[in-house]
Amino acid sequence: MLPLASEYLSAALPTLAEYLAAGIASQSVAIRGIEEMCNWACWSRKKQPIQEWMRSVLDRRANIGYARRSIPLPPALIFDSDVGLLRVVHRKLTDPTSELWMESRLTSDLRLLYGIRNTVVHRGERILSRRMAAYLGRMGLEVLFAVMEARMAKTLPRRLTRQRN
Amino acid sequence: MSRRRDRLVGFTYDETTGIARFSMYVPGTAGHDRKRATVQADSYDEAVRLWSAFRSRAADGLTRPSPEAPTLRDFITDFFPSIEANVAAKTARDYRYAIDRHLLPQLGALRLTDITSGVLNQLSARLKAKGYAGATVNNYVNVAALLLGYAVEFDVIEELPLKKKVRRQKANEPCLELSVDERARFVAAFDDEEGFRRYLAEKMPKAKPAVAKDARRLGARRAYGAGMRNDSDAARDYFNRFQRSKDLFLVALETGIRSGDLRHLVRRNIDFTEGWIRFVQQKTDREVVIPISRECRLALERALGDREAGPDEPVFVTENGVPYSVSTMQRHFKVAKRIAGIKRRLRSLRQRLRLPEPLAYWVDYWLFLHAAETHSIWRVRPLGLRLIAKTALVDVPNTNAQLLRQLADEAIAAARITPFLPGIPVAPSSAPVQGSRWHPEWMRWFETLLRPDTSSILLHDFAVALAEALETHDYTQASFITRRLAAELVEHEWSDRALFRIVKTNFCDANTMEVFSRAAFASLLVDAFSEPRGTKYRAAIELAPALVWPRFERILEKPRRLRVEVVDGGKTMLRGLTLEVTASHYDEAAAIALDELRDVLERLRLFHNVRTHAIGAIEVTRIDDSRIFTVDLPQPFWTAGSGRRRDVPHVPYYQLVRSHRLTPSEKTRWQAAQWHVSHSLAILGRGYARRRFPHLAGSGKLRRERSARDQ
Repeated sequence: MLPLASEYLSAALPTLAEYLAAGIASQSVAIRGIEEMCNWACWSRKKQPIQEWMRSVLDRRANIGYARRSIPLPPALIFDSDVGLLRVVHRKLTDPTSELWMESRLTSDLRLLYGIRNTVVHRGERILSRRMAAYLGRMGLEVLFAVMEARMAKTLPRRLTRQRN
Repeated sequence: MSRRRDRLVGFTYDETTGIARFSMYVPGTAGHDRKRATVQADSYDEAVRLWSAFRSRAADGLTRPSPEAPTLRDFITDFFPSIEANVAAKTARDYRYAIDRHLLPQLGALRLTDITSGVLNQLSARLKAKGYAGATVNNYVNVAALLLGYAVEFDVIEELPLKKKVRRQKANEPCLELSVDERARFVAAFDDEEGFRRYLAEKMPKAKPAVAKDARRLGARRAYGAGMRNDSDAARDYFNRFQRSKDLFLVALETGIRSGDLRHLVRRNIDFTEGWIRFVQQKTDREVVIPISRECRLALERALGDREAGPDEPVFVTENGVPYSVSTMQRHFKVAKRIAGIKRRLRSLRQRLRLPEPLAYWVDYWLFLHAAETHSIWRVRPLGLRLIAKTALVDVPNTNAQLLRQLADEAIAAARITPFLPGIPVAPSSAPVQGSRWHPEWMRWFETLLRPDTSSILLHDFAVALAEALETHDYTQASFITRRLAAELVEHEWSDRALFRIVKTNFCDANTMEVFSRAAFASLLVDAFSEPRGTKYRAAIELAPALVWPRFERILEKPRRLRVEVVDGGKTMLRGLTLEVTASHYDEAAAIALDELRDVLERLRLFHNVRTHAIGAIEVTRIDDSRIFTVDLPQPFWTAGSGRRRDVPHVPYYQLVRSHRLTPSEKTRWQAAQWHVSHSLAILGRGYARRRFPHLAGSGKLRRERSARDQ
């Protein structure tokens, strides 16, 4: 089960980046919607790949870099040089040996999930809190489904894997 | 031939033939562009009028209208009365405004056949460039397109000249819902006579002292232009009139009925016995049925209480017995907002943009940790020190070696926070686990952590450490402390939603911190998360009415009070759900109730094929003092609509199963696995399954496919 962690990360990291980019774009629209100025450069799936956009906006010298797009001040949560989520994802995508906390956290979670499963199955007792159990269950499902989807995308024709609307 | 020449430049008129010739150089073309026209005029005055029209057309760069189709101006003059007859008075007024204010000045001289998609797109771009909102621009362009449609309908032109798609500007959706506090203040404003008098004192025009012409005769200085005095009898009467309209606004808040419909609501539209308001909407001509909530019922009863209203008499009337006018309603709305201090549009986002930087970072991070959409790898991990200690001392069997080792690693990781928390002893330096047992030093340390007073000490120390890290802009440290704090709060059994809302309400919506202050932040944090728990609340949630099996309550694990009614034919109609919950705050009570509700809705859908949903606001009653709070259904933080952006992982779709790649045995195994997953998701509930895996969990389509296959 543990090798799933790295497989999940390689499948999910681009979607993590896209999620953040989409969040920034919708935030930008909402800011303009209340008639405030906003000059952030937003990602468009049709215009450029996510990695290219990330490289541009995180580059201090780039014209569309967030160091230069400061109306309003870009959220530190996303762009801070140390803890900014987009920088973390970018670092991980460009260098898989960095940000090892991701593998570590996933592995720990999967071990805990396996542990509480064994306790429930073999002793019929619940341990940890309900919230922790819900968190682990959700994390497990997310890992499983993401890995299944990634494997299917590699092996099956697109028409069989596309989402139903 | 007598030819009359005048001093008008570029103008000649021949009285005998009645022919006038015009000529002018278009301004701004340095004489390169010259316009000429020859027209027939009955008189000199008529010729001058045509010459004037020619010059204004030429100056605007417009061509002369063709006799084949009238200009928009002529069309409006001749046909607007016919258009007006087809629509409601207010709609006609709105059309007229758009026509007079924007369409005629810009398109009035164009003939109808020349108003093409390109012309409308240019109009749209011009209006947008002037700063009009997208929705406003679209409205004006819609009116222009609609007038062209009428022109075709009235046989003024043969066909619609709009051959291409007219560009739509992006419209901003309204996001102006009242927050819980704002709603409470808005309603309270109608009973706040002091506030009303303060409003009059501030708002009413002040007298301008001046010596009157007849001052000598009257023997005094006089003042002119004063408004109503705030301590006068007139002010009291005005307040009484204002207060009387409270029920009108209460019903508006509870039901969301449009103001026009509300003002014209009549007695026969209301059925107190069945608990409905039923009427045909003016705007859409569609009938709507709205359930009456408790607060709505009280307001309606008050509005009708002082008179015997006939079936066709309006529900809401002024003291003179006439329905409220638009202007009165708008005036009272503005006054109430002013007294309640509501000034914002999309308050949350505006507030967020004004937060000082360290606080903004922390609020963003906290909301991100607890938001439903956040990926699991980033979400808060609800495994705090005290939970680990409790698990180590009580729960974990020593035989489960792998779990024991993992918990030991978790304990070491969590203990890294202790240097920031002076109130608790430092973690032991020895290895937590020896063989298959916890080290005695660690056991003693765990016991220290589980003392009753440790919880408050932890919270205080966390708040101080976090405030210090934020003040020094050390976001790495602040993030670490924030994650550990969120993990510790798991022992309070706050749901993620409650943690999300508590911070959003206290640190964003109600924040008054213009400059980050360490002491103020720490104090606010401790206050937000240490409110005494144990207060009992009763949360009542209205559900969209749905027919249910009479004894369906058996499916529910916990005792819940479902509000049902027996309707015609002995059928049972589900109307709502009432829950008693323990919480520290009415907002938290609503969050817990919503979590419970999701469980109920999932079970109804899966086991009874009953689909319903929450409607209106949640009414939360504090049981000890019967105070009632109204909490809106949760909205996304700062986006309009659902705010959903995440494409979530999903199990392979059913096309895979139907393909030839699976053997019959694999198909059977796949379907069995799918059933197990859907069942476990149904029990897990919590809305996650419904939102994330809508195609699972026994969806209607899968069931239909399955039953068709079985047959």
